Amino acid sequence: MALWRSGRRNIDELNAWQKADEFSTLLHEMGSELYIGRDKEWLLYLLDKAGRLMRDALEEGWNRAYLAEYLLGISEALTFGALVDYYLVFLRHEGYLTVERAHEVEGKLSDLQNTLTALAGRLREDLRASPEGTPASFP
Amino acid sequence: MLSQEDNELLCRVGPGTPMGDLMRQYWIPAARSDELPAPNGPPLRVRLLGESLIAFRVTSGKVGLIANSCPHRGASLFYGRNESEGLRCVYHGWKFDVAGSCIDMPSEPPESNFKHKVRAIAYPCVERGGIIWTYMGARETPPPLPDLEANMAPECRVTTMIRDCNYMQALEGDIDTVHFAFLHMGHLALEDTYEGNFLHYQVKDRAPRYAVTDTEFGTCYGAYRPAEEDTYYWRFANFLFPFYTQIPPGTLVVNRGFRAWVPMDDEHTMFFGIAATPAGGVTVAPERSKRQDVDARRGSSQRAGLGITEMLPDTTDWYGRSRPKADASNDYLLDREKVQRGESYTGLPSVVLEDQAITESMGPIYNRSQEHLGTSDIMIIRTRLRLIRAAQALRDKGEIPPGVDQPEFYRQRSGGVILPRSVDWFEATRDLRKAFVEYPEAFVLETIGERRPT
Repeated sequence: MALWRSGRRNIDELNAWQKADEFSTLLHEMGSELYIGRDKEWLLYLLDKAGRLMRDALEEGWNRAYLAEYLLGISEALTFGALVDYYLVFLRHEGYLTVERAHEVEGKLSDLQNTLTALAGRLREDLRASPEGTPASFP
Repeated sequence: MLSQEDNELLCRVGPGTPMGDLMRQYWIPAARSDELPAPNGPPLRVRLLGESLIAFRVTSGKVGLIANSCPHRGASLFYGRNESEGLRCVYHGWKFDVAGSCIDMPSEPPESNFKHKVRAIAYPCVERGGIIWTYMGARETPPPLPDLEANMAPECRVTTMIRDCNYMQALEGDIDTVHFAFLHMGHLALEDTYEGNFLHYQVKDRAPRYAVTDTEFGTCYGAYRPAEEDTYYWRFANFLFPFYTQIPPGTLVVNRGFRAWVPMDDEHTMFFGIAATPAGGVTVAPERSKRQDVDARRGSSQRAGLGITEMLPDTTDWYGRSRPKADASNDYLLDREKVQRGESYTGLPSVVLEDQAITESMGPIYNRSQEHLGTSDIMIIRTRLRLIRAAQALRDKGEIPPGVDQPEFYRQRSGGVILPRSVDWFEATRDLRKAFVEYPEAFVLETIGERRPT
């Protein structure tokens, strides 16, 4: 166990990971409801994958040696969020998503992105204070 | 994948289009200063944002950029006489200064005041660092020029090359980091690289991971791969509004350069590459292969292993400036035997022409509704979204896009760096990514892993 994680909880107990997990499930459900034609099935695959990658990036970062790598995991999760954002714009634009469903998914994504951004901000402060990190601000 | 509507919004740059309006908020590189070498010299045809313009240097040295069509009868001012602080239309003798004011109208009666009522469309120009900049927007007082380090350096090099495609697909090549390890370096094996060299890490792992982030100037990505046991090799690159890039080859703390993908019109782009030598003269070569060094020792013409891009003489055609000899009409001088011999991944003459051929091969305006962008294309995705949203915000809410009034946003650098895994990639490079800072050689070597290829 790395020093910065000493005495801390498992990742699945953390608020950010839980939100990422819920969002991943939501994307999966959305994908199974949609019919967008066989030529665009890859898009649903990619959305599903990006949702899982957001969650997995957090988990992978959490399991690495340094707090900085957890931060990197959060950055990667946000990066995959950008991919989801982009394809949601397309699905909404092309009328594949109802306005209500689009609002729901985009709202959840926005909430998750805000949570991750805020968490990254707090961790950066911790890291500045102590390079090996003994975070005081886990949600 | 992008809807047709968004693709149109992204790519069309003519007057009255959302993206054209966005670009007209900024100063734009119009030409190299040396394309107008002498006062009263020949005028120059310039296509810019879908407009046909004539650039000319008047007697005092000032540069004018004026609409091609004379406001009198529409004759081309390219045929004009550049004389005594103005360009005179040869059809009826009307003469215009650099501001577009008609300063002589010999075809009208001497007592006529008509010349004071006539103006040609003209855009203000300034020169800095070997570039003629123009402002095509609506403001009475233009915004400040962007603080682009290389363009403000005492000595900088400006190169230009026309690309026969839309600006965005050309620009996207610069922020697509993965292609480097295939298109340009796909022929290299690990044994062709020096251990500890940036290229070694790239060839060892051709599928890096990414962190992409929005910034005040546009978008930034860091692509990382394992370097040594406790370090990562990071490549940073930037997109800066509205069409600038800073690419990741080289060393972060040394690189002084930027690239501009200036739309001539929807289907033609003028590339400007601007580079400056660091003030301290620190030079490192973190991306050399053993093959390149063998070539260099043999005195090979393959300049720095990047190949040679031969240029045609300029013509006066609208698309006749800065044109490479290799183009679609001759398959870019493709030599498949070079591929067979393992000397090149593509058989194309140079790295520059590899990019040129591939992006032009996508068609004049790439139809993004058919593409399949994956997780390694996130920088492209993020950049498109930023541009589209900024153009929409300007159109719908009059929101001024990033950097127009903040020249300091452009004080950025890109490049590679070795970082310990224990440091936060973003914070640890915050200062290193800032322009206008000089570092001693020892520090520079430290940032590339203290290894110098021999």
